[in-house]
Amino acid sequence: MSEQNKASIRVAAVLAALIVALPGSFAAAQKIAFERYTLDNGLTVILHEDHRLPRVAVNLWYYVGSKDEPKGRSGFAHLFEHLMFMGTKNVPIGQFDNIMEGAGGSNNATTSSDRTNYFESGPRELLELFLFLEADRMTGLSRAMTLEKLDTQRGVVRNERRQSYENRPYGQLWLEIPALIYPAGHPYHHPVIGSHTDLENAAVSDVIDFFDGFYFPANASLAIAGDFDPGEARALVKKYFGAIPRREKITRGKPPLPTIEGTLRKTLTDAVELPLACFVWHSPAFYSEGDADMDIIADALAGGKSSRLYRRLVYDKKLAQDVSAYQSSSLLGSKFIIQVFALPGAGTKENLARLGAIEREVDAVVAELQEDGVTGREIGRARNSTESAFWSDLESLEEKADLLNRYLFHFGNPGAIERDLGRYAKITAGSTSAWAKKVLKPNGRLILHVLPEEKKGGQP
Amino acid sequence: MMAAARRTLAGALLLAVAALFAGCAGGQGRVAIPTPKASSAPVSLPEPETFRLSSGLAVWLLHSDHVPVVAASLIVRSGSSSDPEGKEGLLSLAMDMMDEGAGEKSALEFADEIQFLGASLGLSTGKDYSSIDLQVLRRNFGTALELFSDILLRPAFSEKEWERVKRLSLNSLKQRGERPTSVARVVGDRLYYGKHPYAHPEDGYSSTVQNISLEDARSAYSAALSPGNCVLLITGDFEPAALRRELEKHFAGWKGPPARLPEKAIHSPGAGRLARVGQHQAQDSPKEPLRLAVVDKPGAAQTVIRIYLQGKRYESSRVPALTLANTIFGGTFTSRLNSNLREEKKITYGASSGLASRRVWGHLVATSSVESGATALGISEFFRELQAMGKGSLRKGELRKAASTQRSRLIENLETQTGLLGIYSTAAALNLEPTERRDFYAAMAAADEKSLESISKQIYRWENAMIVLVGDRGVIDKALEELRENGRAQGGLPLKGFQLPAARYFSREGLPEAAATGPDK
Repeated sequence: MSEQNKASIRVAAVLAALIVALPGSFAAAQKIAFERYTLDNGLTVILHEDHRLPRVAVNLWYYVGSKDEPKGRSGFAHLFEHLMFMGTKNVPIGQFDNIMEGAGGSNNATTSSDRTNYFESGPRELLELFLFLEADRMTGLSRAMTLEKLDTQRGVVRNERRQSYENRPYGQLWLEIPALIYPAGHPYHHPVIGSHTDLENAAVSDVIDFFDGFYFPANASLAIAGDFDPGEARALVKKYFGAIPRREKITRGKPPLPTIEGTLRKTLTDAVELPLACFVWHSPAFYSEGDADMDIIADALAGGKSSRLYRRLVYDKKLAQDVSAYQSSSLLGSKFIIQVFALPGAGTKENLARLGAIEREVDAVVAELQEDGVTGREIGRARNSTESAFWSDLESLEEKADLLNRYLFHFGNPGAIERDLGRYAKITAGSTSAWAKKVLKPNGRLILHVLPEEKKGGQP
Repeated sequence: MMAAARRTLAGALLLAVAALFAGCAGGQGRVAIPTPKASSAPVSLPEPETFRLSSGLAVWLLHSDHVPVVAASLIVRSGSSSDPEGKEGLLSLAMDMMDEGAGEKSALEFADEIQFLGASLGLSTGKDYSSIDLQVLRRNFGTALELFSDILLRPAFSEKEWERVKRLSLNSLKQRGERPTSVARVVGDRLYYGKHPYAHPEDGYSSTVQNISLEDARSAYSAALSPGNCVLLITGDFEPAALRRELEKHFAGWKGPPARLPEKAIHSPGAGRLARVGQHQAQDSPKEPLRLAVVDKPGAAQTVIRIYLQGKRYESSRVPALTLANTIFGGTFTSRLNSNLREEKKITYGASSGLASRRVWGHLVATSSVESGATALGISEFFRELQAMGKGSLRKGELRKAASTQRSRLIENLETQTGLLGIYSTAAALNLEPTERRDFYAAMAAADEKSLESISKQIYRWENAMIVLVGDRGVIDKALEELRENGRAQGGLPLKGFQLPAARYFSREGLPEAAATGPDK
């Protein structure tokens, strides 16, 4: 029940995309065959048969994420996700997982800024149980909510915050970035995990309001993948989800893309050995124009040892230990991030000087890329590696079910692989040059430094 | 074998669900929870086709054609346990050097070529064995194989790359020290295995890596990377004879001593005693007394609790039952540990346990990161769960759950190429028959409650555990004092038969520190 790792989503999408540009033999394989229909109550259902193994996977997206949280309730969408496992009138507390695991099933869920997904997989005989459990909590989660349940998951989630951010090297970086680059009132102003204070303030009435506001059929989509009979699956979906009352879809406006004026700087200290420089820019939204270019740019800058930044900073200049770059895509606007772990110096002064030198090199490498764009070989390289990763995702029922829901969410069509692919086929040196200029502005970014805490003793 | 087990499981499931309902009869308007039918599909473990190349390299081929991709793992039957004393981390560093330039290509050219093919190449070192893993699009396999043979047969080991690789490696050891869970593992393994070569981390210690020369690395490579010391696991859409011809072409020049394996041995944890299997049959080692190690991480938001228990050798006939017992103890979301520490006490994001069953010996580890303020309660609950498990009585439905879970995980592994190879990697490394896993899963499917109870009584013993705590020392000392004085933790039940030895303090690499001179805050 971790937060969504958006990097992995990107990979799948990129991979799917690259296939279009490949020789004909892949053309047939690039599709995930599916059947889609909608129940009277607005629930979209996607069926994908795969009879290779006697398994089945169910994947349910709710169109709600941390961007939808009410004021003063940061972290609530994710806390709510945890509460979805706490039972209903029909399924006593603790039994959701017990019943499932007892029969060999497993499940989890993740929350991002934009959506929450719930998924389970196991022997094909569990399909009915999976559908029952999902429909049951969509029907009546809030009616069985208690303060005790809320307190339990509040405790768990606050420990998730401690484990994933506070007690993890450089973890506070991810807690700081949202408020620095998104203005107050913007849906992305706070991290998905939320603040301790807001988590503490959450009440049972919040759970009921959130459930009523977002957890209903027309605000969700259900994908089933694996070894099942489609006729039976349709009947089961109707049996369990069909009676849930219809509610109208939510219409939401899109806030304007925020900008950063000048260079915003912040320095943090942490119990770490290596200083870190982190560069953050606003970048094009998930699947919008330029999003795919930024993926390829990230790969050219920091994908592996032969990438531009690794070569410059680690190989040639010996300033850094490691470097990474990625386009972190989201619905309302994305972030492009470059991270450089510097070689440790003999104190804060030396560390700062090294981070300064790194910044100059990063600027120079980015400027070169802005001038000429990525090379043909870099485009080819990115295509091949994304294709490989795509195939590896398509081996997994869970990944396929999630991909179908993701395409539906972003494109309104589970079969949008080809459309996704088309974005990558268009990429040229010229388009990457243009997007690099537009996004990676020297004046219009956040630069964060994490410095090692000054040591008192001399402990190694 | 599998099919019989499934019927048994399904029967148990029906009973359990029926019981659940009986308890709820009369509830208003309750909807019946559907009862899954028994899983009827047979699970057949594909068996590799095996052959040996003229160089002496053994090949295990598993057919798969669901994706146009090839996955291969070269299993090297040497691990960090072969590192000489004072040069811990040597093999790992030698493996790191193998793709830093090979054949005609420099390190950067080599990396660029691999990436251009859409291939991924990973080199990793474990305690018993190491592996070089390749995944590549089927259409690029020929080119990738040439690069693969370059790193095996013709790695450059150049001075220039060595300087960088060693620098990066020393820094990554510093980064390791920043991660409390990694620190707990390094310190715990060092204390648990004592003088045994499993004691040191695969990537070594700062002081020992410093001692390693390029010449050392080259020799370690030559000693480990000979065809007789390796097995190639490979899966993809291949016609065996054609694959064999292609492999012969690339590996023909690979020379080395004939097949060999380090001698089999048993080990007594802690004391560092080694005895040959030929002289003594594997047996229970002498029990170590309870030990407690503390590593300071000033101001930590959580305390990492990591508890070592005795394990079993990989080949022990008790491993199938122990695997199931441990699934119950800490192997799934609803395991005893996670249900208690996370869902009941809500002091952690998760608690789990796992087996490390190695060639010579093994251990079992139970672990959780608990919020600092609940350090005492965390320790108390690990004690209670260990005590309950050590009594050996299973609860209703637990065996069924463990067996169903293991069966499902096996099927899930069959779904992917890397999962498929993973099933066979340890058997290949330890020179076992390819059919060994089939027997293992069959034994697990046949295990009964008695066998789980007997192994649980032997393994889950607080009085022989070794406890590692990584967190704020002031907080930890206070928690230990609370437990000693009150015989319970705040928010926990009184503990019967609870004992706690004096804590010893260690650095992040497991060296003893003076008891009274922790850094102040």
